[in-house]
Order: sequence, then structure tokens, then C-alpha cells
Amino acid sequence: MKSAIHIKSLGGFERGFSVIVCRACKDPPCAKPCPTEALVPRPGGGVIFYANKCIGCKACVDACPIGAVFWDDSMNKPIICVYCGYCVDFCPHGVIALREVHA
Amino acid sequence: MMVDKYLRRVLYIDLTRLRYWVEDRDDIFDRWLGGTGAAVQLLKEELPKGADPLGPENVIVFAVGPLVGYYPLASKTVAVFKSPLTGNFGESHAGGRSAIAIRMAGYGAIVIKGKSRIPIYIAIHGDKVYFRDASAYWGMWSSYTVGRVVRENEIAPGHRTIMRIGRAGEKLVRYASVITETYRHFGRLGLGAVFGSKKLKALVVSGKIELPVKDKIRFRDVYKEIYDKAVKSPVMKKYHDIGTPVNVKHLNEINALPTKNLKQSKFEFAENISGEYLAENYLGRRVACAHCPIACIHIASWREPYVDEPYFYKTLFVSYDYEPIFSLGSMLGIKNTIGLLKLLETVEIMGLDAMSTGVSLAWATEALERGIISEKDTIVKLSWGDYENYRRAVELIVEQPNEFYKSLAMGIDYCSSKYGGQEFALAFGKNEMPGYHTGPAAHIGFLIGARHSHLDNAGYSLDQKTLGKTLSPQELIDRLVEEESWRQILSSLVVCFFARGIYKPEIVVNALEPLGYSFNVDELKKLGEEIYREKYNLKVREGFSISNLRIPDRIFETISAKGMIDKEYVLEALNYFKEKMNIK
Repeated sequence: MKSAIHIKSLGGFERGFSVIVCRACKDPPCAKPCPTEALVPRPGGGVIFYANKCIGCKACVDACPIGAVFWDDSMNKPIICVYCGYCVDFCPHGVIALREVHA
Repeated sequence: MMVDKYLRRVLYIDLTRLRYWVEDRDDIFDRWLGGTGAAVQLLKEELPKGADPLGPENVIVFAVGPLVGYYPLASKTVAVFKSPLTGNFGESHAGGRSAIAIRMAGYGAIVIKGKSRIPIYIAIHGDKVYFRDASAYWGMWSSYTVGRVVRENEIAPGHRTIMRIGRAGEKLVRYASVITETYRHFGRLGLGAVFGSKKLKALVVSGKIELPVKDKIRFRDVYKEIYDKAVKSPVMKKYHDIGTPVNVKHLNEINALPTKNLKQSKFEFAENISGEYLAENYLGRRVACAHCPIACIHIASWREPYVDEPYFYKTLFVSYDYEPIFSLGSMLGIKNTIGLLKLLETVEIMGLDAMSTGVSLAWATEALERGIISEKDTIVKLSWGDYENYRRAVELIVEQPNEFYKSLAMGIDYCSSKYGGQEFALAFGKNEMPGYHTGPAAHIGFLIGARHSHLDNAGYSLDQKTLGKTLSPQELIDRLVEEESWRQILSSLVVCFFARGIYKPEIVVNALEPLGYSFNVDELKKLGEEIYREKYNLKVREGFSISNLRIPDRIFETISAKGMIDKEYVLEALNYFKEKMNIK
């Protein structure tokens, strides 16, 4: 399991940070261009990734407008958030949250 | 024991031949853990005896350790080199993103040797090393600008470290620092000058390996335990709330805040430069090193008008900590808070070690006061509290327009040996003093510490823990050596010293276990003693001797938190140390 979250500064620590993480879109742009249905919309938002269907074309990476589809070089497949919420437990300042949505 | 396949990889870079290669050094990382333990061995191998610290034969080793990348607060990189300030063993630690970046690039250590013909910077992205022309960066006025242009020029934002020097490093000021991520530093002992001597302007490192975990379930449990301790335990409180400057008021109250070149140990305007006052009025943001939940980095911000146009402002940022506040504040009698921040900003722009700079200027101010030197030497009139003139003097240390500033750029031990005033030149082992006049343990600690840093053995802390009591000189030495020995383990892992209250020996054993290491507490302690001894062997090889240490009289003339310090006591302690270590 690889982390699907990325933090970067806004060009200098004094200007703060961007937290890039999947926000579980209701109508996920990343799923639309997938030619093999490896990424399918998930009830309630976000996507489910079927790695065995993925051909590694990277169309999903380009499609995500917030850059939250990361790439696993060793597998040549995307890293897709599975909404486990594990990261939330280790943010001491409550910047990220996991909210339960009923589909 | 099997060190993970990435930690044992050592990247060698030869700047003379512009070549690089990787060697598998499981021999070193198996035996010496990593960090300082491994770095000392790599330095010992590569550094010729008696090497010129500013010659191509000097070697820089950056090392990380087994806990880096795995656990919170294992966030530091150790740099070792021969110090151009002391002419002996040099070691400096920094956080920022440096440690994680080196680890994720797939290395346990990076060894840099030789000297480039033209100014260059090195970009390490995973397995590839790029040598890039830095001629256009050389001589740039501000270290901030260097950071900006390298940032634009390189890949991997969020994953990379950008270490760079300012003009102080280029001009070989013996206490120039290396800045990383704008607000952290490899300070003390002049790593910046070693970079400068090699024509190395910056070092960028990034990568994205996957770190293996042997026992994932156990790892998660230990991780959570350490994380919870870090965010909930009171031992970290002083670092996250007010930050290290919480010391200003406290040390002032107990007569331990060096003021005006330690003519006083109390500053009448301590309130103005206190952590509380800064937090209340100027704290603009708090940030953390990568993989640290504490966020001890306090960044002040203030609004500055442009001189030539009304309603035209800029917002400036500078990070502050206790040590720069002492050295550039109380030590120089500066009571104007903005003045202190501006002076600190100038030091950052130039890329100097804040402590050595402040303590050097304090010595120069007193020397001028006493007529040992004249205004012809100092060019600007140095007087307590005059921060504008001090800002100019900082630039002059870098520019070195005359014999005096050339000497001051060599450190006050050298400068005072030339001009006089050694009795109030506050350097220990040729390293300018840190901000603790707490008692004998602090000063003895600076003298015997392997890098003459207050963080070597925390004598300042021992003084404060034993207020109202007197330890025998022998007991004092034993306790300092024991502390310094254990710290070799922390800096081999590499854990931030601020987290020493969390990473107790038992926790370290537990943290190493899921990664495949089996140590018990005694084995770790023994290894710490061995690393400490290895450092001292290297120091002695390079000519260090306790008998040659100069002890500034000033420390015996100004009251400390433990009253007046007795010279005989200090000498007795040093004698005992010599016997204990079997050195001269």
C-alpha cells in the first residue's frame, strides 16, 4: 500500500503548504478517460481502482485537475486513494479529515 | 543483522573529476548504525591526516540513519568534515527536508570530495547525479535568491532538499553555514566555507524509493506509540509553543543569559527579545521539518516600508530560535525587537552562523571599547544596541575590506590572538560560545564536547538540574561523557536531539526491532561509547589536546546561575577528563 497524499510548500516555507489528496469527487474526472474501466466511480464519490485492468496509460493522471492521481513507477500504475483515513490519525492539526458519506 | 539495502548505499562524488559512483558499505552501516557513527568512519577513511580544511583534500560526509523515513522526529542529517574554524573534527546537524530526501534518494550517506574548477551545484535525483553550472549564482547578494532560482530550476517539489551557501561561504568566512529549506542550517564550524572552497554553491537531493518494513504490524504499533508521545507528552511542549526562545526569560532570571560579551549574565531588556514577546507580536507561521509533528520552526514576520514611496510595503520573514536571539540580541545589547530581526535577516542573507557572528561582534565591540582596536579597524562604530551598524559589520565580515575583518572572518580565537583581548574572547575549542552561562558544566561541556557544541553533552542542562548542589569535578565529567556517549546513538539513528526525551533507550530498541535490528539497551550504550571514542581518536589524530585549550577568563568574572565559577574546579575537571580518556 502506497501513500496517496503529497505535501509541498508554495515556493518557500513561509508561504505555507499545499496538501494534495483525493477529495472523492461525486463525478470523478479521472475515471472518464480510462480506456479499460480500471477506474470506476465509487458509490458516494471517488473511484475504485482495478489494478488488473490497468494498462498504465496515465490518462487519469492528466485528467485529475488537482493532481491527486500519483504514479507508482515500480508498478507503472496510478496510486489511487482508498479512503482508509489512516493519514487523518497522524495529522496533529486537523488539516485533513475523513467524512462518512452514505451513497 | 542486515541493514536495509538502501541505507548501506554510499554515494561518492568527486568534484575534481566530476564523477560519481555508489558503493555498498554494509560493513560500515552494520557496525556503526548510520548517521554520525557511519559518517565518522567514512570521514576517517577519506580525509588525509593534517588535511587543509579549505583544500580539495577535505571531505564532506552527509549521513542519515536507520530510523530516518520510518519514524516521526527521525528527521536530521549529520554532516561531518574537517572544520576550517577549529582546524579539527567538524560535525553539524540539520533538518528541513534534508534527511528524508537523502533517504528517499536511496542513500545512507553522500561523500563529497575534491574541488570544482568552476562554481557548480549538484542535483541528485535518485540514481542520477547532475553537475550544473552555478557561475551565474556565484556572488549573488542574498542566499534567499539562490534558494529561489534553484527551486525553479529543479524537479520534485515537496520531496527535495535544497542546501545552499551564501556569500559568506564563497568568501570562506570560517563560520559560514549551509542553509537548507530557507530556515534550517548546518550551522557551527564552517561547513559553508568548505562548500565555498570546493566551489560548491548548492546541493539538491530528491528521490522516491520504497522503504521496506520487516514486521509491519509491530511497526505500526511502535509508530503510534512514538507519535502519541510526540504530540501529547509535556517533554516536547517547550519546542512547540513558544519554541526554544522560551529560554530567554528563564535564563535571564537565573543569571545565565550572556549579555554584552558576558560582562553581564542578565539583560535589562530581556523582555523585548523574549520568546513570549516575539510570539505575541511577530510570530507569522510555525512549520516543521519533514516527518515531525512538533513544528518548532518559528518564523517571524513584519512589515517594512519602502523608503522612497508612501503606502508601499513588503512583508519580511526570518526564523528565530534561542541561540540567534542570545548571540545577536543580548550579547550585543540589542533591545529593539525589529532591530534584532533585521540583524538576523542580514546574517541569513549572508549565510553565516548566527552564534559565531554575534559572539565575534560582541568581542569586537568590547575590544573597541577598551581601545585594543580602533574605528579604523572596524570601519563602523560598534556599540551595544546599535543594530544598524552591526548589520553593516556583518556585511563587512563577508566583504573583508581590511586586515581586521579578514581576521574576524577567521573567528575570534584567531582574531584575539592577533589583536589581544583573549581573556574576553568567548570561544571554546576555537568555536564561539553558545548562550549558556549556567555554570561550570556548560563551559566544561563546550571545552570537552567533540564538536565544542552545547548540544554535545548538554552541560547547560546538568547545571540547571543541579542548581544549589555541587558535583565533584569527577562526577560532573562522568555525567557529561555518559550523556555525550548516548547522544552518539541518537545522532546515528538519526533522531532530532529535541526528541531525546521520547527516544529513551528502550524506545530505540523497540523502534529498531520491526526494521530487523536486534539490539538490547546495553549494546546500544556500548556502541554509543565506541562512536564517541572514534570521534576523539580522529580529533587526537588531527592534533587536538585538552592541554592546549584556551579558557577565557571572562567566564570566571561574571556570576552564573551557579554563582561564580571556580577556575581550579574547571582545571581539575579537565585533568580528570584527560586521565579518563587517556589523552593529553
